Amino acid sequence: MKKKFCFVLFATIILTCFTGCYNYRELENLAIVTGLSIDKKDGEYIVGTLIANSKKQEASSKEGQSQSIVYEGRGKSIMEAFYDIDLESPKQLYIGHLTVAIIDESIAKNEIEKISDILIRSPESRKNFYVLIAKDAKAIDVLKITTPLESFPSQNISMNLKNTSTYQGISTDLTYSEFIASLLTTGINPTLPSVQIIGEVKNGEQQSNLESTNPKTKLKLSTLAVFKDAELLGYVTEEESKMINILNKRTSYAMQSIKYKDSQIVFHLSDFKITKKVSLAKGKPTLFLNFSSKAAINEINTDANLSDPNIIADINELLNQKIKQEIKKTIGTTQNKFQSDIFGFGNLFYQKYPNYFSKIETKWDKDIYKTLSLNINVNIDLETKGSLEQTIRREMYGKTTK
Amino acid sequence: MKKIEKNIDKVFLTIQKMNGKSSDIKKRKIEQDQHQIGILFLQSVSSDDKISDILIHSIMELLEQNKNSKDIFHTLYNSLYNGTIAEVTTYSELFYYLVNGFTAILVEGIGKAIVVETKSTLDRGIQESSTETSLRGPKDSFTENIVVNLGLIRKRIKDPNLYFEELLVGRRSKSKINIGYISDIADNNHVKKLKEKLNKIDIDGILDSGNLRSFLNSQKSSFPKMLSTERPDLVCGALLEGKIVLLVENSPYVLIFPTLFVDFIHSSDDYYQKSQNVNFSRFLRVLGLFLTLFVPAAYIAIMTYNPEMIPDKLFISVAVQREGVPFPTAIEILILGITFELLRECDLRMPTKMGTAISVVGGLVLGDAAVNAGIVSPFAVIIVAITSVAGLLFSDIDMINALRWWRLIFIFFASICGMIGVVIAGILLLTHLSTLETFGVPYLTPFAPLYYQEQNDAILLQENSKIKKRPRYFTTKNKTRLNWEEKS
Repeated sequence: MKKKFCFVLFATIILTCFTGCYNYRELENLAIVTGLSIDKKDGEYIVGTLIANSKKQEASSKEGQSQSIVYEGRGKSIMEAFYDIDLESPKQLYIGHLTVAIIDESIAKNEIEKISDILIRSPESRKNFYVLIAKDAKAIDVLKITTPLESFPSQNISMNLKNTSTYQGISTDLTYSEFIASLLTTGINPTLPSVQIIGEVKNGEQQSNLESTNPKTKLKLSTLAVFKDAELLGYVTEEESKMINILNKRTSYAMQSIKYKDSQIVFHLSDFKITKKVSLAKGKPTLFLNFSSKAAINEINTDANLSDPNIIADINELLNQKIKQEIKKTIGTTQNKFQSDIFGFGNLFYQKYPNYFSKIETKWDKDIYKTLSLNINVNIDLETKGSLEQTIRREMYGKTTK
Repeated sequence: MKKIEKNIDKVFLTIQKMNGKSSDIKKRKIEQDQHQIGILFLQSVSSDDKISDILIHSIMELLEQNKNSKDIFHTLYNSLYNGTIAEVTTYSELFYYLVNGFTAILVEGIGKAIVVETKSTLDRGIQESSTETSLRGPKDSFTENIVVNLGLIRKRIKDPNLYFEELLVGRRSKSKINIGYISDIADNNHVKKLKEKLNKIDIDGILDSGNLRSFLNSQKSSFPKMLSTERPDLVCGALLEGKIVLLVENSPYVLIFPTLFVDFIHSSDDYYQKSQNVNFSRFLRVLGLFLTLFVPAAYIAIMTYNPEMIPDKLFISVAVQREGVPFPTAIEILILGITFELLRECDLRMPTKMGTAISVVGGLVLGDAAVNAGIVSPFAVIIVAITSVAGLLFSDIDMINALRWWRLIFIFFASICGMIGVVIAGILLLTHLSTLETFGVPYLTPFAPLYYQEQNDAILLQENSKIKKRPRYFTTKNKTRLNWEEKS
């Protein structure tokens, strides 16, 4: 009996002590932050939080019917700004389910490392949210835009980012932890996706924005922002964005069009296999890049005879050339325009020739990267023509022309 | 022990006195020539037809034929038309036979009585089992009549080695208890131990096999350590595995020893179906076991301590649902859970005709109305529904109730320390289960200790033609179950 009593006492003490370890919180007391924006004005941070569970409308409980609200807070640090928001919000801010963080361009230009700390230090945050740069807009405004297909702007951006990243490759679904990793890894510079507001912010803030079939204000994903260390340098073009994502293995599919005779052929690329090797033959850094993938014709508007294997081979070769040219152009842009190694070639040197790299580490981006000579080998397998054997034009206008 | 008197009238009087002149004692005196014969029986347990048509008829004939016989007592004893007949000399014996539906025949001047079986069948006949229904397999079930029950087993196993040993337990009820086992399979030590335990019981009455439970089980636990079943085929299956069964008079539930935890996720239907299909049902039962224990606790833990574990989209809808609910999550689950248990208890006690009323009200209370009134969140209703349905997957009521206790323990721990609490409660449950044993066999056999070969009928069931040995943990005698060579 005594033994049992001791056991119960012991268990009670241990168990009640455990409650201190973990935080007891009821869900309805949490303000679920799904979107976060960070701007800077007059030396103060302006933090915007998108709260997802703001109000329960009548008896309905579907996600689609919940409203979202944006709170704004100011402070000399991000945490102070959070406390400022807590004064407004009746519920405790909870960032465990943060989906996107939008960062203002001006902060990205010079002090992204200063705001990165809080989000990774907080044990509550999950670190797998997406980080985007607000291009030509205030970050907080991005959170305010109501969106038609998803319930909250944050959901909208994250879903859009995921799909675009997988199927087109123009944007990239880089999570926060990946961003921090690339920020800290030797010989690689980070990139971040960006987002734009199309239309007036004022219209976008209203619920009425959604009532029209063609909302006046929308959010649109834009091209990648290129960094050197923690400094935003600028944006690349769509084509370059796509190539960067393919080379960094961040996309599974991509589109590529080429000009053939007087019309365009659009290909669907998949199954990318990319191998990057570096060498220091004769002291000259060289990159060997092998690119192979499968391609399918998505759209074609010529009267070429597609049954002819020679023509297919021609087209395939054209595609090879085009891709090779695109890769060269993209790497060239980063070598010359930005002088920032966002592909991590430097990291390959660091792994293979650590002594060499440690000597040149400080001037890699600025001087050496420019001189990296490229040896690119592209091998695309044009596998299928889709559901049509010939082109419609050829079927219509006869087989007279070749 | 009072001897039976020689005078019939005196015997009648004594018996009436013994039983406080109960109304169902019937007596008759037949006087023919020099013989005086007394007939005594209890109307309530005897068959009038048998007594009038057969017994008295044959007595009259015998008396007629042996008018001058000196020793009519022996003539009767030897010539009566009946299978079960005995000679008694004391009142206590006499009364015992009377209450068992025998008729006593007294002869004037001889201090003995002949008792002849004239029992009336006071049972409902063999019906389909109501608590353990089966889709495929025998439909008959045990009744309150122990002789019929023995017959149902004998009918299935015609082995001479199937023994039934009878004991009488209960000072007043004098209930017959039969220990059944197959002598060359079952472990005799187990039988001996069981008999010893039963012999020690000195109680006024045993009304159902359930009364025996606490005497046969010394460890404190809510988990049942014997399977009670209504199905003869299940009992015969257990006998063939070397287990021991206990039949109690007037109880349609037969107890099976030793029963292990794993037996509760088996059902007798399993062995009549394709093993591949059975395995899915078994998987569901195991899943049900885990669901009923863990779901409410995990819900509370995740909702109140570890919300970061909920997927994004679900999280917001759950959070919006919780909006406006006045109770903490744990209380909310308890309210719903207790309401469900109330309804179930009601359903058990109520006559079936009132059942509809309960289900209508129950559906309203547990469902829409509670949600609309904002007392509980819809998600909590789903959680409690899953838990309750999963908890009823087991046919044994003791198992269902044991799981109900442990579910509460899990909820308690989850509500004070979240996921850690769930884990602690899980460890407690596992520790508790592994301390249990029946007849020296650990309760968690064949998992702990692990019997590799016996896994063919643990959670997954192997094809019937491949289970060739009996489980080793009950008995080591006579291991082979099946001799069968697979033809290619």
